[in-house]
Parts: sequence; structure tokens; C-alpha cells
Amino acid sequence: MTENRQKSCMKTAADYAYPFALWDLRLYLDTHPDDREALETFSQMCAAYPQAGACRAGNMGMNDNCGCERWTWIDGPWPWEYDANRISDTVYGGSHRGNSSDTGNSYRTGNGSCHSGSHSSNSCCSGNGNGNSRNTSYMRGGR
Amino acid sequence: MFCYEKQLQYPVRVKNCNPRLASIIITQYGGPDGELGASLRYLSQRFSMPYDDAKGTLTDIGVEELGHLEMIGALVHQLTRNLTPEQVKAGGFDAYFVDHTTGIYPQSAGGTPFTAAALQSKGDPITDLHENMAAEMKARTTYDNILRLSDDPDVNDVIRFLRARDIVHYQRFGELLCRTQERLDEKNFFAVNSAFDRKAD
Repeated sequence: MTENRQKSCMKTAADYAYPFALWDLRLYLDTHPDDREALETFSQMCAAYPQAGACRAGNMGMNDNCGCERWTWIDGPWPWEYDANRISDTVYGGSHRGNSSDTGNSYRTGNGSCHSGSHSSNSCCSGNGNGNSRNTSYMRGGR
Repeated sequence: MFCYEKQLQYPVRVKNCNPRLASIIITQYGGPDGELGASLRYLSQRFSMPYDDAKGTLTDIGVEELGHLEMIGALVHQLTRNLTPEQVKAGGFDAYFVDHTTGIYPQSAGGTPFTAAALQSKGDPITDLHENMAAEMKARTTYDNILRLSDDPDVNDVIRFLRARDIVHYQRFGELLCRTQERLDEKNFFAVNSAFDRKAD
């Protein structure tokens, strides 16, 4: 590596500071998903440092196409749960419906939209009040 | 799934070789209260958490601990660069060196290989959150001890950052514990495991 290339590869303080600040804020948002001020700060930091991984749309819970009203990163289903691994019928061409496979550990966010495990942009702003973590259904087994 | 960001969370720039210090710091790589154990503990516990904020927090903090693991590895790597055999012997590093040269191996400062025996994933949210708060405090004490033993400013700068993060994690878990207890019927506090029993909510 030439001297010149080394120098141009060198990072600035901002290259560490912004990703770290965004990371710390996401930890806060995990337990305070409806905090508007925190969401606003997250947006502002992404505007100042858009190359952060956390700021890519649909990547880590922040969608910059809508004025997000809550932190949807935490919304279920999470990847290890049955519901997150369903694949739509059109892919296989057969009928794979089955609520009966509900083991009691299926989690729905209450708005009926498909969370496929990646946080797609159009499901970000569910913001309908009943999707927040406090009311997330759990233990809603068929038993 | 797991992605990798090709940058440390906090920069590690150690100018001076110090194999003695390396053999102490390795304990946060593979020791009982180190970052590997912390990460595995949180990433394992999240499966049985019934609450979204707990799943999210445990996932995120578990991932951050992997980043810290990487930083500890970087510290040990930089502390053992360009060693001569004389330096190895003088630094009391020979026992590690004979088995691993200057490679990074997950073990405690005393030489015990990494073991999951130092961590627990109990499948009960209240229990697990208490476990995690204790784990963060144990890690914080370990960093305190490293600071007592180290006079290298480059190293101490990084250790102080990691120590501060452990305190933040402690606070986050404390918050989760409060929120979890709020969700439970007061009479049921210790009578049910909300991850397993049906009548918890």
C-alpha cells in the first residue's frame, strides 16, 4: 500500500462517532420505540452521515421515505419464529396455509401486514397504535 | 442473519508491545466474564423472550458484544506484534506462546479455555435479565482490574470505552427488567415464567 493510498484511506473522527451515536440511539429506541424526539435525532444523524449502515432504508428499522412514527425494528415476528419463515403460496403453487401450526409462539403485530423478516419499507409506519411492543400478542397460543 | 461492518466500533491504536498485558487482556476474549460469553448469553436468551423490546435489545447488545470481542482481539494482536523470544519470556507470555504463538485464542487470563459454564440462559425473562445485569457488572469489574494493572494510555483509552459500554448495557437491562415486571400481574411476579406458563398476562 503506497503512502498516498494509506492517507486517503484514513478515517476521520466522524467515521467512528456517527455510527456509534446511531448505535447507542438504537439501543435506546429498542426500549422506547415511540419516542419521537429520539426518532427525530436518528433522522438528523442519518442526514448528516448517510453512509452509516444504520441509515440505509429498510435495513435497520429506519425508513427515510416516511416520517417514521415509531421504531419498527423490534416488531415481530423475529426470524426464529414460525411466522417469520412462512412463504407465500404463490411461490410454491400449493396450499400451505396453516394456522394450526401455531405452536403458541407465533407473534403478530396486529396490523396484519406481512413481516417477512426483512423490514420492508412499506410496512414501516404501521403507526396505528396497537402495534407497539406493549400490546404485541404473546402467549396467544391456540391452546 | 449476520452482517459484518469492516470497522471497529472504537479505534484500537496501540503503539507499544506488551505481552504481559496481552496475557491479562485475553481474559475479556475468552474468560468467564468476557465479551464472547456475554454475546453468546444474550444471543441465546433472546429466543425465549416473550417481548419484542427484549428480543430487539438482546439481539442488538449481543451483536455489540461481538464487536467488542473483535476489539479485544485487536488489542491482544497489537500488543504482541513483532515480539522476540526474549520479550516473550520476559513478559511471562511463554505458556500462551508455546500453544498459540501470537495467535488469538479464547481463554481466560489463567489459561482456562472458553466455556459456556460461566453463562446461563434460563428461559425465564426475569431470571435472564438479572443474569445479564450481573454479567455486565462482572465485566465492568474485570475492566476495572485491567485498568489497575495497565499503565499504557493507548490500551486504557480502549478499556475505558468498553467499561462505559458495559455500564450502559447494565442500565438497558435494568430498564427491560422494569418493563417486564410492569407487564406482569403483581401477584404473579415470581409465580410464573412468562416465557413458558400460559397465564402470565
